[in-house]
Amino acid sequence: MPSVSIFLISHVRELALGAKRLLQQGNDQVTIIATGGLEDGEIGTSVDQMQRALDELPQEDEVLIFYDIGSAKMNAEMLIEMNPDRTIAITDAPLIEGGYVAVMMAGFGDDLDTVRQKAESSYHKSR
Amino acid sequence: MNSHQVQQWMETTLSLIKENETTLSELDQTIGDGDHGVNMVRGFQAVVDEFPNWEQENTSAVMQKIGTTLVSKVGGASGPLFGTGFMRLGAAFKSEEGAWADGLTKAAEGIAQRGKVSVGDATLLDVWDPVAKVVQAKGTDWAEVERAAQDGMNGTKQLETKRGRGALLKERSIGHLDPGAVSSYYLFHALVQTMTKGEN
Repeated sequence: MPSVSIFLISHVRELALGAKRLLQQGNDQVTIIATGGLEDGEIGTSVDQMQRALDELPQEDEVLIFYDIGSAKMNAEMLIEMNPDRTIAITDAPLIEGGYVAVMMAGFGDDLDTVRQKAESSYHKSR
Repeated sequence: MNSHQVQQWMETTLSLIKENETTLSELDQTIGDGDHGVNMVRGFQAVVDEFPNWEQENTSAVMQKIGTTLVSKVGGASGPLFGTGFMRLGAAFKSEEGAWADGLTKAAEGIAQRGKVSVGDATLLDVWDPVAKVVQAKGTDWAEVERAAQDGMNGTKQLETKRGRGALLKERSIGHLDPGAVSSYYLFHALVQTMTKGEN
């Protein structure tokens, strides 16, 4: 069982869910959760919504967060502070390309640091 | 400041932001994604709507709840930034002694950490930081607070935006007020109005 779960955060709900659908192709055993947009469907990110999604994951899961644009990262940082008992990391690797690599690596059973590093290095290599 | 004054402060802030929603969004269209006005109205409207549920709470608790409401409802980067400011302010109001000086200083520090911004980056911090400094130096002299907030806001016009999408514009961002600084000015202008009500 992979120990790393992937958390996708976007400003738009459809984008988050679409990204999840695509990334799940990389490995259907890896847990991917995705939130996007505000409660009313407007563009933005909501830390409440992120918390609810996180609560569905087992406490022992390590979580790697991918985000789309800047303010989502700020909310992700707040989420980490609100959950000091969980192991959560944020990566600046792109949501789709980096996320895909992360899902593959998590599927191979890599740990959080390794998954994150591979997601980030694959992104830099391709540029 | 009692919790009734906090309510007045928030209501005045909301009406200023509402009156100027288009201006805020237009400023944001020039150097950002154009949603600042609508985001701020959404956030402060939620705060004002929540007040009836906070009747039993003291000033400190109300300020912290304002913070969490802004974080939840604003939606853009301003949510965590203004939200952090209010949460820090609320923490300081647990002890009444010197609450404004301590609270505003910690709020400005919190905003700087949260947004990874420095003074001079043309952000809301360029209003929060001088306001905190003037209250540190002179206490709650509300005329000084008004001046510091206004000067801070106007100062962002000469600065190159260093954070957020505005940073992509580099020197082209010079000549524009920062929308977060403008709404921070409204917030402090509303505070000054609330605290000087009945004077003069």
